[in-house]
Amino acid sequence: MAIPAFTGLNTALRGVQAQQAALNVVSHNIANVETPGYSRQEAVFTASPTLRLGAGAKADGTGAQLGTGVEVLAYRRLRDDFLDLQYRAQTMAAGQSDVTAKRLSVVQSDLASTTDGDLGKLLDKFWSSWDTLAANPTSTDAKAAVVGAAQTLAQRFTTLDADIAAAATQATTAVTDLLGNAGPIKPIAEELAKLNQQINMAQSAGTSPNDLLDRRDLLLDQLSQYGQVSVAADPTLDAAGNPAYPGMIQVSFGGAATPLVSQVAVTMPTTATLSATPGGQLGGLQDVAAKANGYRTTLATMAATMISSVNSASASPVFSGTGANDIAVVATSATISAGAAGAAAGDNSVANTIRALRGGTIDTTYSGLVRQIGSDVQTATSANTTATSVLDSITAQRASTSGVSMDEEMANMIRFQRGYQAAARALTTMDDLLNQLINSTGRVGM
Amino acid sequence: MRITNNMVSARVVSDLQARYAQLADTQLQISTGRRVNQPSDDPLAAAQERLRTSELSGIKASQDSVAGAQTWLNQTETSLGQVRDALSRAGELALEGANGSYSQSDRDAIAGEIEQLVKAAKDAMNAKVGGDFIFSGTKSDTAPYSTATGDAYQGDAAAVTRDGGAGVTLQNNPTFVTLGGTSEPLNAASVLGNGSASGDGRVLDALTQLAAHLRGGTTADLQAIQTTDLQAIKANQTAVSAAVSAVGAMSNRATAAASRLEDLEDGAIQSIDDLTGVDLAKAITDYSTQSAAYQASLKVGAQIIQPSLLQFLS
Repeated sequence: MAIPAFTGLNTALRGVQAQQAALNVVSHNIANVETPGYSRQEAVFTASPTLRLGAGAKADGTGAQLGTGVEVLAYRRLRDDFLDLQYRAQTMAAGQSDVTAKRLSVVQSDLASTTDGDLGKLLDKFWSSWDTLAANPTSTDAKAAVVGAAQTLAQRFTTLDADIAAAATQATTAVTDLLGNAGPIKPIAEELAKLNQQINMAQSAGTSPNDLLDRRDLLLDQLSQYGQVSVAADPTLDAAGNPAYPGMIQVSFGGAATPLVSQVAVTMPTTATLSATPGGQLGGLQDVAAKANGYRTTLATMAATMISSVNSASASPVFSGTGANDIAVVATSATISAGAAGAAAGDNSVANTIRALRGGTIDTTYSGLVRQIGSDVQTATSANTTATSVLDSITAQRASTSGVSMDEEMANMIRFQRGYQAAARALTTMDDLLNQLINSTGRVGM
Repeated sequence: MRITNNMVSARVVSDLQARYAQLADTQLQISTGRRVNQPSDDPLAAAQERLRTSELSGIKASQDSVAGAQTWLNQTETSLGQVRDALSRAGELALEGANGSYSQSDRDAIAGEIEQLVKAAKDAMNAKVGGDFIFSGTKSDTAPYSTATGDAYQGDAAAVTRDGGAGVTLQNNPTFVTLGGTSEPLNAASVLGNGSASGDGRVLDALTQLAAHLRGGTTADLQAIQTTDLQAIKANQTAVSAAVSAVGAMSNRATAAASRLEDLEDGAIQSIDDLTGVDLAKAITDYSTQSAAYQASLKVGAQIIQPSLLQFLS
């Protein structure tokens, strides 16, 4: 049986088309070398279905299978899903520790600065003013100095308390903002819902929407810095027990019970519906608020102890208020006295009692607070360093699998170009054959 | 492992960042001279430094207190010296006045001088240090003797204490054995007494008695001058010496306290430096090494990110 005349032409044509498709993929890769979240693609070739030749095709009279060229089997997207999971986990950890370290650093530099306005130094000055008064019980200058030191100290307490309260409030507000309509999470969730639909349509039609999948993975990466992200295939099954919506995913965020994205529905979590440990920036901000309130409590205890121990030792009250937020000085240089009420002018018993408070509960509580905040910041910073360096390593691995290497694409381009040239040459040759056949056969002697 | 251009340039950038951050850290340590610039650098050291700094501030305040006590004690000694001089002059005058060959007007003149010595002794006791009367006990705003109240002591008998460092209390008016055998804190009453009205036999009483006997001029008076008055003066001189020794001993204690506080201060400063100070020599050496490493990574990084296959394809 004869081979159809134009088979060869078709075979060469398929070759040309396949090489052209491969070149298209190469130029797509090169164009997207800097696109964030892009995974390189390749055209996978396969030999196209053979032509079955009937009996008599070969010398021994049997049939044969004749190859008919090449086809593109798939446009494959090179991506490692396991690395994606690792990346999201580390991004979450890095997001959490980053926001904690940054915000607590600000609180730290306020609470324990190296300047003269530091609370510890003001405490020292306050005790020293009582020391001076004990050594000079009748001196009005010493009494005025005590009042001055007390006022500076009280003011520092209230300012510090207000600053830390502001830091805690800002952290809580930031959580609400992130989850709000103007925050970054809502647009991501809405786009994920849209992509769900688009990817589902494409996969139902049998195509592989590589660039949409890349976009979805990029959005999930971005989402994971804000909180914990877990992804599962949509669980709805059809009558036959197969997934009803292939390609759709369900995204759970921040440990909330209702998924953030389910099919095309978006349910934003609220501060109430988030879990206790939402992870990512949300978790970090909640952590900051909790820790800042803890520092405030310690500060309030310090102030209360200061007020009660100084007032109980002194003949007339020195401080008023109950805690760090309302401590104030009621004494004046006329009411401050080094000695007990009604005692002689040179008595310094009260001043001795008060100056003996140096190095006691108040000072040790403050140094404990310094250590506490220092170690909180240190923990957050080192967690951030670790997460960042693991993240770098995972990014490198991802790039190794999915990244575009310019040199590689150049080499591939040459390969496919040569392939194209060769296939085009084959096409020309076939054309020449046909030309001979059509135009020159049977014109004997003309 | 397959390497792409992006991986290499990302790694170059992150390594340069890390080197630079390390360099910046070392520079901060050198310029501030501290290893711990914020509590998160070393929380435990920062907390302990806070406590040591508080201690140091207490030590400095104690040093001021000791210096004040030393000034007070020095003035006390000077004033007691003046009282001692008055007593010896009174003793000489007593011997003179007891001489039977003097006329009454001479004796009156001597009595006048004795009365002047009484005034001088009271003035010495009215001494002040920086606005505080030093011989009034804790009533340092009241003069021990005033013209309105005569010989009656206006102060109190309390001890005037001052801080001398941890566990050390200095007494500005040290306790001594007075005339009469009791141990009392040093004030105008325990030295000069309350005058003849009280009959305590101390300086004012003794000198007033002497003046009265001189003005009296009878044989019994002259006899009294030679016996009781002279004995009284001698006894008071012993008491004043006891007071001076007590002041001297307290002054020594103050000096010892000052020197102890100096040692404590040095110790505290050293301890703070050990906790949070930086070893400058080591830090500068580290800086040189890190700087060289940074420059090397800049150079190599620049070279690795440049070549590409494109340069060689025609």
